[in-house]
Amino acid sequence: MTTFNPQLLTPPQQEEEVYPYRRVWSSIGIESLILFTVTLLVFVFINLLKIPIPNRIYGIIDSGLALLPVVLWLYFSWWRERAVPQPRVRLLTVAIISALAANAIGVPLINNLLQVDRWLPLSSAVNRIIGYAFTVGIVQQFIQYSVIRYAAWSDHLRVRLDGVAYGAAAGIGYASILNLHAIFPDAPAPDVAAARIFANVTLYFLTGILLGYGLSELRLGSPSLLLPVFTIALGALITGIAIPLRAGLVNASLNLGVSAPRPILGIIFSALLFVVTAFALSFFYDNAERQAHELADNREE
Amino acid sequence: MTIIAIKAGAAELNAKQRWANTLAFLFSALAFIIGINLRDSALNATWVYTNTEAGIRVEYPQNWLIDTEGDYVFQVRDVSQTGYPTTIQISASPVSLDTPPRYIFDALTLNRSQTLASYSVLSSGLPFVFPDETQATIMNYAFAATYANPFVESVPIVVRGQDILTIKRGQAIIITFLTDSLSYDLTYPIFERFINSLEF
Repeated sequence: MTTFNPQLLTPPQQEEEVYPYRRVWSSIGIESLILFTVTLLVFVFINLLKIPIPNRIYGIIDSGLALLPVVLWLYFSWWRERAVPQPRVRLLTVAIISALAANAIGVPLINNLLQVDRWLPLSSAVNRIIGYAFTVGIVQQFIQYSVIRYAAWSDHLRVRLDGVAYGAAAGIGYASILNLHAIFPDAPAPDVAAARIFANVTLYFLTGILLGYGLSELRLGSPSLLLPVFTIALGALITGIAIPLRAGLVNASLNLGVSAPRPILGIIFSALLFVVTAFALSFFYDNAERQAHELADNREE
Repeated sequence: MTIIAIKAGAAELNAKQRWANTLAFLFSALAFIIGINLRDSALNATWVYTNTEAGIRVEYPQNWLIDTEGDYVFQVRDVSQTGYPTTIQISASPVSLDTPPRYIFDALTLNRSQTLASYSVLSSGLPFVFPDETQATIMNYAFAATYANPFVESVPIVVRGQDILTIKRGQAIIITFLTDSLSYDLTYPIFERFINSLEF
C-alpha cells in the first residue's frame, strides 16, 4: 500500500511595501469635503428650506461650526498620524504655535496697526487686491512661514509631503483664530458664519501648503534661492485676490431692484479656489518628487 | 514587511538654505513696509476745497462727504464710519473786531444747550496758534447724539467736540471738530492735518 504524503506548496511570500507616512492629501481632502458638506447643508437648511433658528442659539451653532475644522483636523490628520510607523511628531506644535502667533501678532497687526477695514473696502478693485496682498496676505504668510521654519523645518521635514502636512497644520491653526474672531462677539447667522469659516479654512490650508512646498523643496531639493520668497509672494497674492473677490461675489449689489447677499457664490468660489489650487500644488509636489527620484536613479546608474 | 525608508536631509543648513531664508525674511519685511505705506497714503489722502468768496483753501480727507448747503461755509463728514460720523465744519459770522471770544463761545453754548442733549462744556478759553501764527481760542465740549442711524435702534452716542475760534477780517471763523468720544484719540490727528493745511 502506498501512501501519499501531499506536501503543501506554500506560495512564496510577497513582501508588502508599507508606506510609513500618513497619506496627507487624502486627509486634507476628507476634512475639506466634510467641511464643504456641512457648510452646504447649513446654507440649504437656512436659505432654501427656511428652517427657523432662534437668535439665542446662534452663538452655540457658530461655536460648533468654528470648532469643526479643528476637530476634523485633529481626527483625520493628527490622530491618524499616531497610527503610522513614521509619524510627523510636530504637527500639533505647529498648529498651536500658528494659532497663538495669529492671535498675538497677526490679528492685532491687521486690525490695530494696518486697520484694513478703514481704507481697503473703499478702494478700487485693483487697489484692494494689492492692498490685501501687502497687508493681510503678507502678515499671515510671514507668520506661517516662520512657524513652520522654526518648529519643524530643520529636523522634521523628511519627505516632500511633510511640507503639505505641516503647511496644513499651520493653516488650520491660523484659520481657527480668524474663525473665532469672526463669530465672537457678534454671533452672525449660522449660514454666514459657516461660509466665512469655510472660506478661511480653505484659503489658509492652501497658502500653508504652498509655503510647505517652498520649505520642503528648500530642505530636500536644490531649488532657486528665491523659491521661499516666491511662495510667500504667491500666497500673499492669492490672499489678496481671494478676499475682495469673495466679498464682491457675496455682498449684495447696489442697484434699484431687489438685491440680497449671495453666500452660495462665496462657498462655490472658495471650493473652486481650493480644488484648483490644491490640484496644482499636488502636481508640483509630484513633479518635484519624480525629479528627485530620477536624479537619484541616474546617480546610481 | 518592508518599511520604505526615505533618507532625511542633512541636519546642518547649507549656505543656500541660509540665504533663501534670509531673503524670505527680507522680502516679508519689505512687503510689510509697502503695506504700511499703502495704508498711510490711503488714510491720509486728501482733496482740496477752495472757496474764493470766503477766502478759504483746505485739504480734507478723501472719500469724506462734502456739504456746502447748510448754515456754514463748508462741512465734511466721514459717512463710512459706523456710529456718529466724524465731522469737520467751518462756519463764519460777522462780528466786530473787539468782540471777545468768550462772548461767541457763550452764544454757541446757549444755542447748543437748547438743541443738543446733555450738552456740556469741558473746557473753554484755551489758546491756540495756527501754522501761519494766527491766534485762536479753543472750546471743548460733549453732548449725546441720538439720531446716529434712523433705521437702527441704538443708544445715544457721546460725541466730543472742539471749536477753534479766530476773528479775522471782521468775521468770527469757527472750525468745529465732532467725533464719537470713543474714537476721539484715533480721529483727532485727521483734524490736526486739516488745520495744518488750512489757509484763510
